[in-house]
Amino acid sequence: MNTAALFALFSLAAEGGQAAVFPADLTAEDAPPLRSYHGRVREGQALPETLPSWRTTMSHGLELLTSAEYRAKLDQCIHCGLCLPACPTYEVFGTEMDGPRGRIALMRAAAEGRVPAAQLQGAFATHIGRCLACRACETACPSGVQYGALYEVARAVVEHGRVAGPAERALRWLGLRQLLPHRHRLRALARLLRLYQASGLQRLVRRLAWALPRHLRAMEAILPPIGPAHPPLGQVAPAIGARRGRVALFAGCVQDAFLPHVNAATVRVLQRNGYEVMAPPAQTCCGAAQLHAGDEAFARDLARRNVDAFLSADVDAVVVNAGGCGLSLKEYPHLLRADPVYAPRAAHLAARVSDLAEFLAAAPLVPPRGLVRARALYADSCHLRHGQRVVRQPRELLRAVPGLELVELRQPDRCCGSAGVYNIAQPDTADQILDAKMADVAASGADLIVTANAGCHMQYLYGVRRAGLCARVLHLAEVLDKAYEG
Amino acid sequence: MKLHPLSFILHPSQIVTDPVQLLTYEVDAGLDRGRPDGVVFPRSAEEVAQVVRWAAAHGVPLIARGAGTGLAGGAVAEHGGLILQLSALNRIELDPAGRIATAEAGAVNLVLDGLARAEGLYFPPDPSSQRSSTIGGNIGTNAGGPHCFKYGVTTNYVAGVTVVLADGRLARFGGPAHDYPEYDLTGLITGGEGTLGVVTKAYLRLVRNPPAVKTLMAAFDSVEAAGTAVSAIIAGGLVPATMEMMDEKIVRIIEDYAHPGLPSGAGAVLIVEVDGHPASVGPQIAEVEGILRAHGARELRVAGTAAERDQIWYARKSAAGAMARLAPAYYLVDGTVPRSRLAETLAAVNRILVEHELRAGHVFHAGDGNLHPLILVDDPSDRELIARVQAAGRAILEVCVAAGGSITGEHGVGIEKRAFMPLMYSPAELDVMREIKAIFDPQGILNPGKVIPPISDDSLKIEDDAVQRNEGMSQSLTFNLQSSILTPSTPGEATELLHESIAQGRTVRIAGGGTKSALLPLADMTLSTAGLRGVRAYAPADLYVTVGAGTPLAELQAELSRDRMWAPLASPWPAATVGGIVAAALNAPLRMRYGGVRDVLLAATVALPDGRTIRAGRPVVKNVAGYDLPKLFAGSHGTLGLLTDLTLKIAPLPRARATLVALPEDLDRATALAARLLRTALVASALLIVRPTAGGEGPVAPDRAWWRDLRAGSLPTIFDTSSLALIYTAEGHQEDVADELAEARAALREAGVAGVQLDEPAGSEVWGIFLAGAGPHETVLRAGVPPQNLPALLAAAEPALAGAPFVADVAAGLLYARGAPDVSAIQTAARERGGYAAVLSAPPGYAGDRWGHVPDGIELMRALKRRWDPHSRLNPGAFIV
Repeated sequence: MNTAALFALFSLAAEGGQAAVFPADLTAEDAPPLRSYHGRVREGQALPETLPSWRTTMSHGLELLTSAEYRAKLDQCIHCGLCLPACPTYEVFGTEMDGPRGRIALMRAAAEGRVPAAQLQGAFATHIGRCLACRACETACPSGVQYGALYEVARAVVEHGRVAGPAERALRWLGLRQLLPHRHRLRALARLLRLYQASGLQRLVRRLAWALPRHLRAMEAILPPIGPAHPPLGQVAPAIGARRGRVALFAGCVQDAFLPHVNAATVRVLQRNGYEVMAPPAQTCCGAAQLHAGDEAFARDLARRNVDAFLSADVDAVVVNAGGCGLSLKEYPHLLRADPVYAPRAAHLAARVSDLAEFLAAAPLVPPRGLVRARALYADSCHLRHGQRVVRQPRELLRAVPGLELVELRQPDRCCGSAGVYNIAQPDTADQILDAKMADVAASGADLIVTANAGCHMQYLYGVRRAGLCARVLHLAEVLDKAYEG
Repeated sequence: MKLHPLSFILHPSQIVTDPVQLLTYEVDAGLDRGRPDGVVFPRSAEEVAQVVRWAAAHGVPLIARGAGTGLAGGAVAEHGGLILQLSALNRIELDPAGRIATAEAGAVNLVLDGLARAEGLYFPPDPSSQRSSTIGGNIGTNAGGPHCFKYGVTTNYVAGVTVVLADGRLARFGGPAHDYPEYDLTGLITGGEGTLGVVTKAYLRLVRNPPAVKTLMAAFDSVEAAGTAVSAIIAGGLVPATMEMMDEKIVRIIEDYAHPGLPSGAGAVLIVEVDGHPASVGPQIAEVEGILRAHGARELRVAGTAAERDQIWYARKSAAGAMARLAPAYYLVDGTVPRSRLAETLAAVNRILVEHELRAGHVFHAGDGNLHPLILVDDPSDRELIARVQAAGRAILEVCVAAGGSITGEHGVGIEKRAFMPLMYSPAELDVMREIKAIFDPQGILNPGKVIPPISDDSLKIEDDAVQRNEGMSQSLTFNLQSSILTPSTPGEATELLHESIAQGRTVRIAGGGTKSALLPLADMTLSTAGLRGVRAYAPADLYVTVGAGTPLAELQAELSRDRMWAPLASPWPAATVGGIVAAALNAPLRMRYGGVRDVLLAATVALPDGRTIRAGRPVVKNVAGYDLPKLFAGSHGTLGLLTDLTLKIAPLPRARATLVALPEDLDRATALAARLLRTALVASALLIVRPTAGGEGPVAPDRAWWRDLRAGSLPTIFDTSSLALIYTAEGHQEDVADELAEARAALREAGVAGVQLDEPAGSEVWGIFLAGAGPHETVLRAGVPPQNLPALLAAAEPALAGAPFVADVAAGLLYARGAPDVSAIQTAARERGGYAAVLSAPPGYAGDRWGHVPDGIELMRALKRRWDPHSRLNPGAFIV
């Protein structure tokens, strides 16, 4: 595994309209099996789907589209248009098909059989592909339309229908199946990239960035400075002061490998608040990227592994410091709804999952004493704000930090353009969204951007550099950690 | 249809013809559907004009679309054609000094309001869709919102529009100045649903953002009880910013869904919000509270904090979402009745719903009689159910019409209610609308088929209670047409006499109080409205009065004042009749508080010169069914028809009124101070700069007692030492007036200008005395410029005024001058600053330019005139046409 492979992987994972995601000609037999499940499967229970059907056919997607359940969800949309101003792509394109209502109209038309099958890979795929899945429209919707659930199916239809070249298929397989779910491989890659940064090669590449292919350039641009430490999971960090309980940390994949200091800070902050912290080593990637890419079966497998890993840990709560992963975990009951064994277990886990800010704000915070002098803005993660509806808590925590002045963006509910791998898949659109965001940041006069999700964190690092601003980017956990260190 | 020649006009990225992409443009927020052949995204008015020219050449239907939030199918391409998607035209410019915003059609309502609020200003029309909906769409449907009761609807804030006409010409109707001498084509376009022209830009009036609001929520046993309480609030002379009501069913549904803490088991919940100066909202809400308690409020909660207020509104705003939880779809009915008929209408509506076996809840704007039953649709694909829903919808609107209301208060007609138009309008009224459409759009390419039904559907009209019967018609026609002065005593007689005279080839002059006719050429006959006198219908609870055109305003006011009500109009001349005032639309300074004549006129019965009689408008504030015809007749100087009966909005008499008179040393200081005062004017009813004398020869109207008092009393030497006065009147609640004048006094102190506060006169009286004092040989002119340009106009016009006395209405940007020697120089100065100068009266034989203005819409105006009065026999020479 090398840098180029990772770049290629992401650029493919994200290709949007043109690229194919799934190897159309691979069969279930060709698919490499997962090595094993780390979780415990009780005697007598059916084993989960260890060999995911590698290629779900397009007709399967169409079945989903035309199901009564899906039609009922579509019918909730009364096309009032109140979602339009909330949508970042509607702001960029100003066209109905690039807003939530238009996308739902396309889904509805497809469900009614009014989009010719061949066209599902045309305009339909283009406009579904342009969606950031930020779910700001869900917050805006007066009728409670579950856009995320609708979008997921449309996305699957698009992905399933795609035909791609062998190299792309192989790389996607590599990235989504062979890399993201494997902590040690990702960490090894991070160490390589650290070498790339330390050697000065990155400086050279960035100078010559214009010569890189667009997606590769976008990929390179969001690479954060990688720190040295990758602590092993599985150790128990003791509570400091009066013990309040025991929690498990969800470490994440990219977060764990590329932003290890955020996880370290998270653990320390939880310790300071009286929690014993452990991170079950059997945990893996949350599966959001795979689900988004249309590989539901594999995403379900990852979900089952996580359910097992965390349910077997004896903890009061599972704390997640990335908005995207947290939402993914909270939605496991939906993902595993058809699995009679795991649906109740997923519900059990989801009930204990808590975002870091949500978790800390639910109990009196051990007051931080150290001064963090900054004019700070809190950059909402869409999946935290719109998906999990956690808006107030991170702000309350920041207000508790001495010396820190909290300012608001003009449009705090607006996506930064990161959106999973959107910034690599649709780099031009993402850059337009980011530029608007950075203009908003500049206008706020903030010198500290506080993030709550790995993707946003990397996007803001890139945004600050792109806009030439003098602002630090820190995760909420890092800010609290600094305040505790004093 | 081939669209590719369009690519010579627009960039390919501005044209969508992909059939899959077009699927997203099939609907707006309503139920009707239609597939366009293409969608274009113009980026400038010029591009819109080019597209319209192209469409006109090819006969392609054009449907202007903003955010597609309309509920009546107005933006649906029913007959194919091109959708003109105007969202890229979204520039907004604010002129806080003139309180005018210039917004392009695609600008979003809430964005505009946000910009205005940042300047301390406020754009009141607030439809529920305001987050998304555009100014162009708001104008197309004449959008309303919860704050209409106090603030009126969109049309009351549209000072002018730039439109692309059906032939592709760009024209401006109205504009940034007030009272252009034109037919009010702006008022006609507003609510025209894109069938008369494509609005690309609008000049919008803003008001000061009220510095304080206070909100309460009250529970009642029944809708009737809550309705009675609302009536009591109105009878008590209070004008809350909004009064929203929810019925028992929807309260239960909302509470189950959003848990906002609504009173449980209430038969109705009422939300009342008052606004004003900080010192006034407390007493206002306390008074409302007292009234509600006295009228059976069970549970009453006054929001003490912003969070509590949000909580109350959260309940109301959760209605749609709550309904969506109960059924996949709902049908939102929109109808209006005179407010006092709300409870009985609701009972009738509930009976209809039971008969049709439908479930529904009610939310409504209780202040203005706008009801919105939300009918649940359990299965949108169930045709039988949809048919039942539609049948119930129609029956509900029939009830509204029978009660004297409208088939749509704020959503528009579009496709949805087209077939209901004949319920409300007679064939003649529909024909008049068709004629207007044909004049504006002879090819029928602009939003074809919308609003007005095909002729075959006419004659379903429901006679409502408010129709004026033409009693005593033919048999009393004893007038001798040889006599040159006709004085009919009934509307029917007036109509017949007018028709007979014109049919016999005679020219007819309409005379009201005879207050302004020196400039008019003689006509064969004079038709006096003197016999059309008296109140025809008076509904204080519904805040309207219908009077005969010949009723002197003073007589009407005297009658209304017995109930502590008034019509917010003023005229300089004691003999002025209501008909004359409306026809001339001469706006007193009080319009800054109450709107202009066009805004006060709700409805009128009009005898057209060709013999037809129509009733324009309805006695409700919210009525967007068809074209807003009353606007066309207000200010048309009687050239389009004879107004026989007029329905006016009335208001409680202000409880307090006071005037601040200041004496700035020179004009520069006066204008600077006036600009400063305008910034904070909230309940002001006049802001004037007055130069009362020509060269210090004495005051304007020495015979008036108040003026004597002024000289003898508090300001003994006012006009001996100063040639300029600044007059600032505020009226309303005592606390509002006190606060506002305290603010004004502080501004005076800051500017180092002396001032004194008096109970009388009001600014509008000063204005009236000034105009009424003009001698028969004096030229009186009115110059209008965008208000922010008034100081520049005053400075530039000074040489031409040569010290002539004037009154400048600062808020409206109007300058009234008496005896100015050089009229044409003032006309030039006004024109150069975006305005005009019209001669109101002049010595006989005046031969100069009377109007000082050439409207862009002059050809349309002449076409309208020709259509109804082809030989120009009605009021010849009375107006610019």
